[in-house]
Amino acid sequence: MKYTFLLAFVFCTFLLSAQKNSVLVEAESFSEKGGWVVDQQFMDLMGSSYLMAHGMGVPVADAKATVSVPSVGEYKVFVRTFNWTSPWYKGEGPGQFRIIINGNPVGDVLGNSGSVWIWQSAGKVNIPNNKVTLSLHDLTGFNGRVDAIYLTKGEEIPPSDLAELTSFRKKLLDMPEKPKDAGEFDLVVIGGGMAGIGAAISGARLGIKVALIQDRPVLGGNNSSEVRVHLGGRAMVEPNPALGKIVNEIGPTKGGNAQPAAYYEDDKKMSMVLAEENITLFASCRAFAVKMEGSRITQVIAKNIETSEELAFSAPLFADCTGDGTIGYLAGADFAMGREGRNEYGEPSAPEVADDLTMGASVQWYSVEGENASVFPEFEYGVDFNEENSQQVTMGEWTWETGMNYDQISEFERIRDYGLLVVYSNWSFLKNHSSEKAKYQNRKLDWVAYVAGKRESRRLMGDLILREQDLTDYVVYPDGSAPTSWTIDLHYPDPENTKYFPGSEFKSIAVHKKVHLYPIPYRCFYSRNVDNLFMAGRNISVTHVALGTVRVMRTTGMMGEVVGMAASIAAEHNTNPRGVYEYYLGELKSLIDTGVGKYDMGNVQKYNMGSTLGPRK
Amino acid sequence: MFGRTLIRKNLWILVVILSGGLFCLSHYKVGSTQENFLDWEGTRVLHPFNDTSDASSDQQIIELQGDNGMPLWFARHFFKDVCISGKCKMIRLWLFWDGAGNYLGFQVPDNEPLTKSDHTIFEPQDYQKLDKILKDRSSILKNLKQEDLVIIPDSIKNPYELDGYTAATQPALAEVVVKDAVYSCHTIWHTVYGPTQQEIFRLLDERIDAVFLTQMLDSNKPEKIIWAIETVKQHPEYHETFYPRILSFIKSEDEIMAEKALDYFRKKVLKDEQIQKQLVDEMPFFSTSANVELIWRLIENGGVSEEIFRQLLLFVNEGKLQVTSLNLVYQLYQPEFLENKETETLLNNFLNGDDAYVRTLTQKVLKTK
Repeated sequence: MKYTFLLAFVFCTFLLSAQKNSVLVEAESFSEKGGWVVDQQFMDLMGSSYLMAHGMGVPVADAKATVSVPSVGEYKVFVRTFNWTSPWYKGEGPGQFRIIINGNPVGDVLGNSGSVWIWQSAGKVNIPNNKVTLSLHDLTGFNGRVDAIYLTKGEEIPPSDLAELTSFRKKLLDMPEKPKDAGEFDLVVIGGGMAGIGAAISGARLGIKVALIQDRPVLGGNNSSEVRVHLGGRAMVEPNPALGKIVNEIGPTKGGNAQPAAYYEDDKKMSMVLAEENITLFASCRAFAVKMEGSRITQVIAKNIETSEELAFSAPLFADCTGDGTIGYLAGADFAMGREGRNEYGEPSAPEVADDLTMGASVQWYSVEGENASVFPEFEYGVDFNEENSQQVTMGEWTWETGMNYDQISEFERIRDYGLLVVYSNWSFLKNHSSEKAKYQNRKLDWVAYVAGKRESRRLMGDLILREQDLTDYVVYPDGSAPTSWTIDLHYPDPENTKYFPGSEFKSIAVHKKVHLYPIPYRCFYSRNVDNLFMAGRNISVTHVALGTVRVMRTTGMMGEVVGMAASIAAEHNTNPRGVYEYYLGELKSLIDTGVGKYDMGNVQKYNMGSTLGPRK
Repeated sequence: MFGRTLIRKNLWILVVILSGGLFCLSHYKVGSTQENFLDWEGTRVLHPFNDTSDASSDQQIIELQGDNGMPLWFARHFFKDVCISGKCKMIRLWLFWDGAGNYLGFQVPDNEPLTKSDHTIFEPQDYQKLDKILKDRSSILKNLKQEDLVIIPDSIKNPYELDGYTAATQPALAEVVVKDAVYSCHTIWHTVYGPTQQEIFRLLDERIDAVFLTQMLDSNKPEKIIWAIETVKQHPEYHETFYPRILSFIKSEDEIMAEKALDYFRKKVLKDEQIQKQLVDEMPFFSTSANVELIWRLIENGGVSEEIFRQLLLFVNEGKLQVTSLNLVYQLYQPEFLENKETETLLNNFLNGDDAYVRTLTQKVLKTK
C-alpha cells in the first residue's frame, strides 16, 4: 500500500513538473497533415490515434504544426513511435522519418527501431522563441508512424503504461476532467458503417433524435472508399421486402472490391445522413467509455480522433454498430469470440472443439498501368517471396485476408501491418526480381488500404442466438426481421498459401453453404444483459457459423433499419429493446412491412447479390 | 428472297422442305424442355458438318428456317460414348440451339432413355435438371476434365481399374449434376458448348449483312436481338445504320436485352457527343438502373458537355431522373458550366429546394469544385 502511494506521489510530482517545463504534442492534432494519415484503429489499445506516412513506397509530404513552449531554452525531444516490421524482421525497419524543429532535423532517424510503442529519444534542441514549428519528415513512404512528441526541460521520460499515459495526456494537453456534454438524444448510434447509418436514418425518419458517432471522417465503414468492400446480399426481398430501402438509397450503384474511390459514393452516404434533420453526426469521434447505472448505459464517451476532445452522449437507448461490439464490451455485455464447439449449439459446420479462430481482415490493394516505367523500392522485412510463392497479380481483393489465428482486437495493429507487409513485399519481388518483372515495369501501386476490412471479432449475445440450423432448416421465429440471403460463407486460410506461409497466411478461401431468404429474429439485435443496448452489424447475436451469412453489408444495413424502427417504438412507449419484443412486436412488424424509404425508386444495386438461394425446408 | 440469296451463297447447302418426319424423328420424346422442337414448322436446311472429333454422330447440322429465311433453330443428332474409366455406353439424343446459337433444348428417343450409373433410367425431374445444367453456359463443368468428376477412394490403388459406380461425386459438383449421372452431364454439356455450336456461330457469321441484321433486330426475339447487337459491336461498319435501333432497346422491359443494348454504348462509341446527347434525351424512358449505369459510363468516358450536364440537371429537377443519381451527375460537373445562366439557375434552385439531400450535395459540389 505504501509503495502504491509512493508511486502515485512520484507520478503526480512528475506531472506537475512536466506541466511547467514541457509540452506534449499529439501528432494527429498537427494542423497540416501533409501526406500523413490519421490512424485511429488502435486507439483502444494505445489511448490515442496516430499519424502514419502511408505513401506506398513514396515518401509523403511533411506534416507540420506550430506550438508554444513554456519558455525558451534547451529541450529534450521524445517521440512515441516504433518499428512496425519488428514482429517479422529483427533489423532496422522501413518506416523511417525525422523530426524537424524550426526547420532543422533533430536527432537520429526514427521509426526504424523498437518492437512496441515506446518513447524514443530524438536528442536535444535549443528553442529560442516561445513559438516553435514541428515537422514530421517521412523518408520512405513505408508507414512510419508517430503517436506524439514530447519536448521537456526535465529529465523524465513520459510514461508508457496506458493508464498513466492517459492521465499524462490529459494533464499535459490541459484537457478537462469531465467530457464536454454533447447533448441528450433518444438514440445514440455508435459506428457509421452500413448498419449504423441504417439505424440512424431509420430512427430519424421515424421521428427520434439520433446522435451518430463515427470514428472516421467518412461514413460507410467497410463499404467506404477507405476499405472498399462492395455491398453484398439482397435487399428489399421476401419475406420483408420493405426492408433495405435505405440501403438502396445510400449504397453505391456500382459493384466491385478494391476499385477506385468514386465507386463507393462516400458523398452520397454523407449527404443522406446530413439531410436528416433528426440526426446529429459526430464524425472523427471514437467511443471509448460508457457510464452505467446498474445494467443500463447512461452515457457513451467519445474522443475526437484529431483533437482528443472528449464528448459525453446521453440517451435512454444506444445502438452498438461498431463491428467490434466495443460498447457492449465496455458495458459488460455477454459476448463470444472465436468458434463454438459443435456440441455447444449442435451446429453441423462447427468444429468438434471450440477454438479462437475467426475470419480475418483484408488489406486490399491495386496497381495501375502507367505510361512509363516506375520503380518500387526493395522491400524485404521478414517475409520472403520468390518465383514459387509470389502472387503474380496486379490487385488484391478480399482474398488478401490475414490474422485468422490472431486476436482481431488486441492484435489488430499487427494483423493490419502484416497485411501491408505482404502487399509491399510481394510487389517489391514482382517489380525487382520476378522473371516476369517486365510485365510489371509500368505498373505502380495506386492504392493500398490502411484501414483494414475486418470480418469478425466480438459477437454480443442477445435473447436469441442465431444458429446454423435455424438458417438451413428454415426455422422462422415470430420476430423474423431483416432477411439474410448470402450463403453461410466462412473463410479459412488458403491451403495453397499455407504451403508457403504456414501460420502466417495472407490469402483465404471461402466455404459456402446455401440458405434460403431467412428473416433474422429481432431478438438477435439487443443485448441480453445490458438493458438498453441494441446491436446491428457483424456484432449481433449469432454463432460463428451463422455470422457467415449475416455479415454482408446489405444485410447489416437492413439490421440497422430494424434497430432504428425498434428504437422509435421504445422511445414512444418508454421501454427498452426487450420491451419492444415483449409488448410491441406488432408495431415493429408493422414498421417492417412499411419500411422507411424516402425515395420511390427501383433497385439500383444489381451487383454481388450472391448465388442462388438454398431450399426452404 | 433471303432463302434464294442464301442458296446462291452456299451452294453446298441442301434445302429440303419437310412436311412430316422425313428424318424419322417422331419417336423422339421431349426431354424436359416442355416443347417438341421437331414439331415446329418451317423449312429444314441441311448443313454438312465434318466433325472429326465426333465421327459417330450425324455429320450434318439441321437448320429450321421461318418464312423469311430466319433461323428458328439449329439441331444435330448425336450418337456418342459416355465413358467411365474405360467402360463406355452409347447415348442417342438431339440437341437444339436457338436461332442465335444458344442452347435451346434436347430430345431423346422414347426407347433409349438416358440412364444413370446404376442403370436406372432418367426420371422427368432428372431431364429437367439436365436441361437446367445445359442452359448454364458458365457451368462449373466447363473447366473440369472427366478425371475431376469423382473422388477416388483411397482403397483403390489403380485408378484405371476404378469402377465409376462406386466412386463418389465431388461434393462441389453434387448440386450441379444429375445424381449418379455426372459423366453424362459432363459429356452432354461439353457437346452443347463444343464444336457444333462453333459451327453454328460460323454459319450465322456467314450471313451477316444489313438485311440479315435488320431481320434479327426486327425478330422480337431477345436472343436474336442480342446476337445482332453483339454482331454490330464486332462489325463497326454497321454502326451508323444500327446504333439508333440498338439505343431503342435500352428501353426494353427485357432486362438482359436492355443491358446488352446499353453495353453497346461504350468507349469509342460513347465518345461521340451526338450519341451522348441522344442517350441522355432518352433517359426518362430507361430503367433507373440503366440510367445509373449510363451516368457511370459518361463519368468514366471523361465527362460531358455543359449542355448534356444541364439536361441531366433538368431531368433531376423535373423528377425524370432519380434524385439519388444526383451525386453521380455531380461527378460530371465542371466549374465553367456555371457560365451558362440556365445551369446556374438550376443549381441555385437545388441549393434552395425542399430536399435536404439535394441541398447538401449541391452545397458540397459548389464548395469543393
